[in-house]
Amino acid sequence: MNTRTLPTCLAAASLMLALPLAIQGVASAQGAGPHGPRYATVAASASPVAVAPGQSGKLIIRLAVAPGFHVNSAKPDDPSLIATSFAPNAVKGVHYGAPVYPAVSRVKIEASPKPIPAYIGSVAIIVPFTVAKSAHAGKLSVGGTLTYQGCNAVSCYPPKQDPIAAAVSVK
Amino acid sequence: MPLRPPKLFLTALALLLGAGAVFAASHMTLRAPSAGATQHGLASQASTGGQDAAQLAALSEQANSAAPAGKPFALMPSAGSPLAPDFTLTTLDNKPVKLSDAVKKGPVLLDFWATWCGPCQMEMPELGTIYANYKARGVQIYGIDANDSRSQIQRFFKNASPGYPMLPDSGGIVATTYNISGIPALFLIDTSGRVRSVSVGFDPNTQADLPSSLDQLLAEHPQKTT
Repeated sequence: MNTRTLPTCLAAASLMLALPLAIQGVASAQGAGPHGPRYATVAASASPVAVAPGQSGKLIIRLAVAPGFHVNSAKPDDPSLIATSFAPNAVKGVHYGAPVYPAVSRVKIEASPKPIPAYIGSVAIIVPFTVAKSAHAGKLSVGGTLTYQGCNAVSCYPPKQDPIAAAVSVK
Repeated sequence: MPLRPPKLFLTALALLLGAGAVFAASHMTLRAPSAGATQHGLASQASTGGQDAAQLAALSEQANSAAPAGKPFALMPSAGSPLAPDFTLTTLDNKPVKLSDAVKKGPVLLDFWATWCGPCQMEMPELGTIYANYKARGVQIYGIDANDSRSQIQRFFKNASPGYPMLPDSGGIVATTYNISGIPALFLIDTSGRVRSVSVGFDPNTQADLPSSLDQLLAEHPQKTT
């Protein structure tokens, strides 16, 4: 026990030295990291989950926007706003069609004289895909990146880029 | 032979070191130099003490979670208000702005914003009017954009500008230090370099509420006005 006294005390001293700096780091990281409230969640699935070569399926991206928030539509009225967009990952043997974005809601916010087109509540973005006839049986992942940016009635939060992935079996 | 220092002595040493660290951290203030200023703001360093940083973070968090209501620019007492982290950024026409120098001229309002932020755009004209009315008395307003490139900001203001200087914050160093989450976020800083008010979110009453707080700050330090 006595032989461990010095290292133990030095470790304690180091901890006390580091603590104030760590607190400062946490304070900064909170600002840098998540950038505000979790105003939306994203989930993805494929339908059907098993596809034969040459057949088509749908990648379904569910965007759930928290109450009181909205996410810009795929075609905002104001060109300076950041549109919701999906960029697919290239997957060998998979061809993606154009994403079908959900219908917009007209949202009235304090900062805009007229309602803005946006997504609220739970919405789905559908991305059709086709598996090549030459595809081999097995598993693959369809997906990409969903970019979106949200606000509430008075504030906006930095754009997010969430990875999207859904498993598909090739029969 | 094993080293066996007295336990009490080492405990005291640890406490002393810890206390020293706390003291040192809490005294890295606005007066700390911001080193290596200004290549498009990237090399600027924001600095503040641990206690001030934690207090500033709490203020930002509080402002983020509360809808702007009542008097969003109501001033906190100077004593106990956190020191604003110092920084140096450059304007769109490449003039360096160092916060610790700016506050010597008068109160400073930092407006964190982005080109894609509708509420920020709505607030800018009001801030521009206030700037026009108060700049002769030493009040300075700076727009800080951590989310767009210098060229994007320049394009954005090609046709119209609110009139106050814009400071691109490439890399978001300053925004991170100020714990910016939602925008617009306004930080009102007095001539002592203390953050006296934090307001997050578009406030339709800015033009009515902000001037009284500016008047109050100017009255506190009339000798520093021009």
